[in-house]
Amino acid sequence: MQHRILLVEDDENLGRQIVEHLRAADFDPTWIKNGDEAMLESPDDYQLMILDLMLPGAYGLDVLKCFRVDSDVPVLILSARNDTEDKVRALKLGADDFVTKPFWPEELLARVQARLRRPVLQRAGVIQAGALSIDIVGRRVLVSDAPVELTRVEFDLLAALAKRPGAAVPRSWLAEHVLDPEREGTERTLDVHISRLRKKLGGSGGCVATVWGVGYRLETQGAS
Amino acid sequence: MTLRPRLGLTILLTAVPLVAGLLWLRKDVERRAIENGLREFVVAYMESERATCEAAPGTWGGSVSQRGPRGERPDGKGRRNGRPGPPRLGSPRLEDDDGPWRPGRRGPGPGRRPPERRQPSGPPPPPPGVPTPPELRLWVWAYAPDLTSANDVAPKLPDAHVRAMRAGDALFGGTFSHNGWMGHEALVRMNWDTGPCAFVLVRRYGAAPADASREFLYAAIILCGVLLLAVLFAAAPIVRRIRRLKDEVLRAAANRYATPIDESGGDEISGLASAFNEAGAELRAHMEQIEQREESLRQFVANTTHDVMIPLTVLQGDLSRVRKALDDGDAVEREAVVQALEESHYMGSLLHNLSAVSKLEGGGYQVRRDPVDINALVSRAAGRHRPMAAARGIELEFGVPEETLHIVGDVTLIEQAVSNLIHNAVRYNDRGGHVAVILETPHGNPDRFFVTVVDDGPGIPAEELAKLPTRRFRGEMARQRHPGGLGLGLHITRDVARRHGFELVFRVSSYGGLEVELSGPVMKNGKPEGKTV
Repeated sequence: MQHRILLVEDDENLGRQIVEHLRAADFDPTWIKNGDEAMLESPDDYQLMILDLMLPGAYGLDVLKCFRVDSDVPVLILSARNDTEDKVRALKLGADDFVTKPFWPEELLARVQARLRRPVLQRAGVIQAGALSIDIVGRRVLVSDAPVELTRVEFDLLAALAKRPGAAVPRSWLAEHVLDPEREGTERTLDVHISRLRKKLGGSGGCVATVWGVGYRLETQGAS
Repeated sequence: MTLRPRLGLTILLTAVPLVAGLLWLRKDVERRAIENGLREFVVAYMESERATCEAAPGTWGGSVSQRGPRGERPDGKGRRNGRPGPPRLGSPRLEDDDGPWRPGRRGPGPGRRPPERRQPSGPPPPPPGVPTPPELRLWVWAYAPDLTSANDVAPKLPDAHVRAMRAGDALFGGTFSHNGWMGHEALVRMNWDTGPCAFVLVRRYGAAPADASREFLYAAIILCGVLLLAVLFAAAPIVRRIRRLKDEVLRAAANRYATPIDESGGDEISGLASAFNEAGAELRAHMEQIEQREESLRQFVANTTHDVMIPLTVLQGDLSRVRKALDDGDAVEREAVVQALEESHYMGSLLHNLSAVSKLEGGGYQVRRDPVDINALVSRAAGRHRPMAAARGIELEFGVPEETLHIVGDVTLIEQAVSNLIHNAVRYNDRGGHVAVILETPHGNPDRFFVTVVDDGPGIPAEELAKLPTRRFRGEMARQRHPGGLGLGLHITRDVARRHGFELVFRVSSYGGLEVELSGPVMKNGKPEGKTV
């Protein structure tokens, strides 16, 4: 299902660009150029709102205040002023995120997607990454429906990555929270465990990606 | 109204009621003394005259000697033996008395004689002339308990006298006027309450209260005048100093309060001058601060214009190259497009940095202290540079801990500080390079956060690295685009770190590039209530 997005932006060129990028990313944008008109919209008709602050008619924060009376739709503020005062005020009024101009279209889309991302946990506690299925509660791992035997540490490492799919998890955090700090809590040991884990996962081993300088990540997009 | 007229008016307004009050007081004391004298005289006189009076009340009364028996004066001043003796009516002394004094009358006329005999009835007619000073003459009249006299020529008692006596008073005195004559009188209740002489009215003609009062008034006026002159004379140097102070203040104001005002004197006026000097100094400091801000703003606009023009020119050049290639049907150089993107990205960062530096160095800027979600902050800062890094073929990754960390500070400034570190790492890396941003709280130090930006670019020579923390930001030089790879951005990061009490460490990364670590305290008491920036 396409997500409906309300864009309130008065600048013709910028508005047109944002609409194009949103459409290209498979969103369904509605573009309004005036604060007063925006206030006539029903916020619950949308899954997300992108709101510029400097608008003709009602000021952006007034529009936000109006929407927040009876709606919790995520609101992403666009502002040319990189000012803490504005951010604090907007957040107090219920804004969810801030994007400061100038911004890259990719940056804006990433922020929109982050707000609309659905929980990856599909059935209770089970994470799917391609052929890899990780049941965190049942402590079971399947690759193409075949069970894989993992040690306690290997499973805990995989589960730690699976809880935040797509996000890079720092090595130090994994070493500290997954490995036994008394016995084997070094990052070097961590690499050995990851290497063994990948081997055991076979074709899905690539889902456990090394992130340069950071640590590891469970790839869910385009995983085999 | 200026000081001197005000002083003069104040003295007059104070002195006039004071003199009037003194005059009244003096008159009252005088009146009481005369009344008491008259009463004493009557009491003594009636000791011998009671029998005579009661024997023939219809004819008793009239003029007696002022000195009374044994030379006693009615005002008591002539008493010699303590107890006065009875006066004798019709005595030679009495016969020798002059007529009563009347104000305005001059000395005795030639051949004039005072009345020779006792007046049996009524006050004497005004004599043709009055000696100066006048001899005072007394007249007495007797009244029965009903306050009427058996003597037909005795004056009828005024109502006030009657009321006082009926109220039980022993004495009622005052002034009287009779046929143009003036004087003091006293109605005295005798020790006996019966008979035709139970009350005696005594009148003293010729009392001249106005005379002495007038002298007193003249003295008071002269005194007031002298006092006024003295005060005005004393006020003159004060007025002069105040005028000089005014001139000096005006001169100092014209000179932007650069010239101090003379504070000599050691009194209130010099204290005022000192206060002016202090106010002037404060004003001058305030004006300098405003000028500094204006200068900072001017500098900001000038720097912004200059700094934006360069990348803008490069951007125009790149876009022109792209357009020309398209016009000529040639393949568009990817490098030209990437460079154009990079210039526009640089311009955005530059504007944010110039805005930050204008706040930080404008003077008077207070860094905000809000709870900040540093996980989100690092994600945003890395996310801002990811598209550019991707365009340049540089892998930019970031990692934050699972639990959200909160710190206290100015979200815009801290984000700009972290963003500058990431931007530097991306900008000075090569295609195929890597940049990693990690937020963590090390196991041994859970109360501090560490943001580490590490790259595998060319880095900075170790000898330069050691100088980095102490290198001062010097306007023009630091604004250069490539001053050893670090410029305005690093200066801002360092300034923000200093203002927040964070620590900034530079070291050679294990990948051969630069590793910068920003660390500071994590917010105490865990997660704050409500949304955080």
